[in-house]
Amino acid sequence: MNAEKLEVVHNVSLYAIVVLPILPIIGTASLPILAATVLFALIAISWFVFRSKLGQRIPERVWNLVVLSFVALSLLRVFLFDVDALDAVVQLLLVLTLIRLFGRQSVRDELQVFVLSLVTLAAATTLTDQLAFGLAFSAYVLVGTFALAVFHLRNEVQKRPKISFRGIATLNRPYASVLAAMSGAVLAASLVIFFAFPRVGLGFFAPKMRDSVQMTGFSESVELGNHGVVRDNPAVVLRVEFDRRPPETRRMHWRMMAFDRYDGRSWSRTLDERRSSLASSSRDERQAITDSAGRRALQVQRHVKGSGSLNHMQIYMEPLGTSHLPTLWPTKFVRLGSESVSVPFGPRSGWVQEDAYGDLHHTVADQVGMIFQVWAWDTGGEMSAGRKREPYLQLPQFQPRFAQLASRIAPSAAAPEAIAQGVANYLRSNYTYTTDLPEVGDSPVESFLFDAKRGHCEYFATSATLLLRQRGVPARIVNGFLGGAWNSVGGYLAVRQGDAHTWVEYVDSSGQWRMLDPTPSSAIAPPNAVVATAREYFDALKLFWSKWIIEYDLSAQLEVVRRVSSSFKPRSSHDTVERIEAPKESGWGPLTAALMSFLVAWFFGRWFVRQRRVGGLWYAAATLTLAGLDFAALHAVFDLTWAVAATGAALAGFASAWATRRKLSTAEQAWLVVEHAAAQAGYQRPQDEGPETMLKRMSHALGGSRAIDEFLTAYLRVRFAGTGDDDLLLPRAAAAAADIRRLRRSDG
Amino acid sequence: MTETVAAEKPRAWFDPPRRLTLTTPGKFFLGLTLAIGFAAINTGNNLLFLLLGMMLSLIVVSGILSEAVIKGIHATRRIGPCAAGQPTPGTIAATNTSTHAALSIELSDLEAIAIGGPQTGSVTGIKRHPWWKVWKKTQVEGAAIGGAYAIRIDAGDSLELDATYLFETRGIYRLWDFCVVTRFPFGLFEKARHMSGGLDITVFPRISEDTEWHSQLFAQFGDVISNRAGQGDEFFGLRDFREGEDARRIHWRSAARRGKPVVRETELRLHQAIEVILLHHVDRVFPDDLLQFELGIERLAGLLERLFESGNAVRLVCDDITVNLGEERARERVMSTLASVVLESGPVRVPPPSKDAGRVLVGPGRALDAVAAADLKLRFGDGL
Repeated sequence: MNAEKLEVVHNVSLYAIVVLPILPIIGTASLPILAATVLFALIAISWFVFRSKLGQRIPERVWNLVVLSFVALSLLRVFLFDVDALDAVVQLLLVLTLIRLFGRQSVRDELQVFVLSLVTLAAATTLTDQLAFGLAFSAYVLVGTFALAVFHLRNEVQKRPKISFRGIATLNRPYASVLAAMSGAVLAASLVIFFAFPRVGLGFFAPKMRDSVQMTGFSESVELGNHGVVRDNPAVVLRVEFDRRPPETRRMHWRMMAFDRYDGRSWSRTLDERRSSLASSSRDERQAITDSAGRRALQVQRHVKGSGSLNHMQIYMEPLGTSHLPTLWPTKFVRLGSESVSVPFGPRSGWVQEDAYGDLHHTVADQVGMIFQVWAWDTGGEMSAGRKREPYLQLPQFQPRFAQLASRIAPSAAAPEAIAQGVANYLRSNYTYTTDLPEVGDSPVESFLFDAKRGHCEYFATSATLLLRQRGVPARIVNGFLGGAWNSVGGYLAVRQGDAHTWVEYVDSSGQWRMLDPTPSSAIAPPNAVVATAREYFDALKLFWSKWIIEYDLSAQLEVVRRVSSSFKPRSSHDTVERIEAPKESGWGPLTAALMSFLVAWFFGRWFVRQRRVGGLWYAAATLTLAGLDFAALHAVFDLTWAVAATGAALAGFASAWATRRKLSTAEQAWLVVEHAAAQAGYQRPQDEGPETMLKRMSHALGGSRAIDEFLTAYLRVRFAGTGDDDLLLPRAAAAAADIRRLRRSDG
Repeated sequence: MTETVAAEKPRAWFDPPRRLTLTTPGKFFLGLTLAIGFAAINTGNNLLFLLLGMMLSLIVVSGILSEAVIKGIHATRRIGPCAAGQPTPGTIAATNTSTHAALSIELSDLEAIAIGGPQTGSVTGIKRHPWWKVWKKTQVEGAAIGGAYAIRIDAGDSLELDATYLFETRGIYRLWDFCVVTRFPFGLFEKARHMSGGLDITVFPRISEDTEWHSQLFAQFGDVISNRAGQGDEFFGLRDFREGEDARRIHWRSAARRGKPVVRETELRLHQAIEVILLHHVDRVFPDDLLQFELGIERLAGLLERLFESGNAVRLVCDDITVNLGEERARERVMSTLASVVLESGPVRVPPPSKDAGRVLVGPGRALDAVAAADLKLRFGDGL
């Protein structure tokens, strides 16, 4: 490759690293779509302006004037028009980048482009935390590493204009492969450092509130007749990881928010909104538990009853624009954060509160999305209804036929449970689920019950609640999500926007709230298999991004360390008040796996280093690749502990094989240099030909080569007589190799 | 030039095996890394940690790859005769003994210590600040003595690279810091590995043409008329061209006039033998004297160069060293003597006069004043 081509490669990679940090912030307040379009157009124009050297003709002071004007404009916008300072800074960065692209003349200007691109990427971290950033970041690492290397090479060549490219292609395929492999290594190393870097930050300066990507589907208000079609929206709002895959997930009700007052068209809340912090409940309600997986933590329990066993699940919630916390009905324990310890400070710290409706709220400051844990019972579920029942008996003004219908469905003397069952059965049998709603009149419920006879969950739940109230049973509607789809790629339950649901809670004969879902199941056509699989993969990637990148914190780091350390000793479960019996496990399984991995890696490493001329870089690359595959395979089949232990042992095995390898002596190295030159000259040494014969023959072919003769003498002395100067052997080998290559040229 | 096997072991005990210097892009990069690290720790923003991971891994990978590049390089160099202030060509033979190609490497003599001549004991060449002295405006001051650059040396391959060396001052130098240097792969850091093998090199003084000294010398020891044809500048006569002579000697204008080829002959010049005695001792050395002495040495070198060309029978005497300009490698010996001579305080020593040659004393004025009369005295500057 000549200097011109190197320049083109450099320019392309420079533009790539300019564009990549901009991609994830498109659509944010800092860079609306229209502005992004203009920006990209200007970037494209700058390519041609640079090539025609038009920008270089503009004096530097003109560019400085443009920058100063934009700074002044930004200040005005911030102080007079209340534009966010961060948005103004990002826009200033983009303008500076553009100016540098238009007017770059020297290496210094291009260095500034690199710096601006990096700062833009850093600014993007405060504007978005979506998967798009992750993809752009990965591409940036790969391309940026390549661009930096090319930038360096180009500068070295520019400094020495007399360097000719004869003979050796500077950026040929092997060189480019090395740079590409290097980019991959940097990406891998970035992730390793990311995971290993201790999260000791105190988070004194909370990040800017990101532009909330709030979901539709769930709403804090319910207004009949004004509901959008959300059933087909596949955007995932909750991802739930279970210890074991539950047999049935379709009927899981993720409860969020209850309503008590219906005004004939919409639902609202009338009870006192003051919340009580569960953490400040009486001491008896705080218990240290150990569940079946050995998790020990201080939890907060609620006045909720259920039956069966407690199942643990970890939930990753996308931003919903509400402080309500979706929990599986019936939930016993709730805890913010992931497993292990919680950091009691920082922007993501918070606690759980419970309001008068029994709804749970979180107090986390931002709305970026959050992680929490839930322990819920297998079956049953009841919650004390308290003494205040009037709000749950309120009814709007209906025509008499409504009361007649209620009387017909359930006799007045029946128990609340029987009335509820009767109402649910009646609605399920006589009405149809649809999201294609017909026109409704002033009273949507009466239109639904007596005219249309079809509607979605809000109609069913509202009608059931009002019918129950008509029969004297206190009832309310609850918003949340129903079911979800199991993601077999990631092994978790994905609850989508389309799973938004409304159901009923009523007070039973024992004064407890009980759940009732009168909505019949809908017939939703399953999506195309390919699309569904693609969605699963994409969503699993999003979960991975959220779980391991966005939410990765000190707790997660400590958890990994704790698990690894605890796996090597039998588990004990003392200091527990409520104990769920856990089987004692020894750490011999991971230990055996580690030992086996070490031995296999050691033997394989020994074989590998015996291959001639295997360099340290290749060995390291092969080792890391195999270790990565080992980790992936073990993690897929066994748990994290096994994978970490075995992979660590495998790395140790590879390292020890490398450390104990036999190193080449100076004489052997020198001989390899000469032999390599001979091979390049097209000479293959027969097995029965010794070094002396071979070198003498080559010297003879050259009409006598002093360099070859000197090397032969020195080599024989060092190699076989054990005398001579080792330091001079390699330079002599180099001189001999140069002569041997001369032999090739003269032959040619 | 001689390749010395210097005792490098004591030095190796105290010096780190590699030297690391920040480049200007490296300074920016390090500053940004610190800033992003600070921001990441204080905000707890994981995306900043991700960015920090990338930057730290670039630093780590940069260190590993630069090590891989320079580790297997072995090199030797050959340098031609050097004169102060003049770029001198040299050759560096580099071999890559590793199993992978070495990319973007520079082979340089970074520093030299003067072991003879006016700068004895001083170190010249590039000065590198350690990487952590980021407050320095540039991490590298000065320039390397000499070196060459290779874009790429394949595994097991060897290359001969053209190098250029430059010394500013005469003297004898030991090139003790021959290094393989690389800024590969990102140009953020400059890593240097010292290679064993010191090289002593003599740098001749600059040649300064001085017509005044030359005129004085020729006025005193001018050519003697021989009345014989021979080598010289003055016209002696015309004679017929003889068969077998070089046709270029024909004087064509006279040949045309006479109608036959004739040759123009010059009169043979007879040169008087001259003994140039360099005095380099004075009663006391003042700082200004050193510059005057250097200028004087350059003028003397110019004078001797003229004498070489004119073919005078000259010998240079300096202390116990006597060099006849007609003997083998005389020029190199004369220049080496001039390269290493230094102005010293002490009694002026003058060898006994020679009967067969004119006596020219060259040196500081104070030294010349202190000695007996000579045929000619050439003074180094006015104040000295």
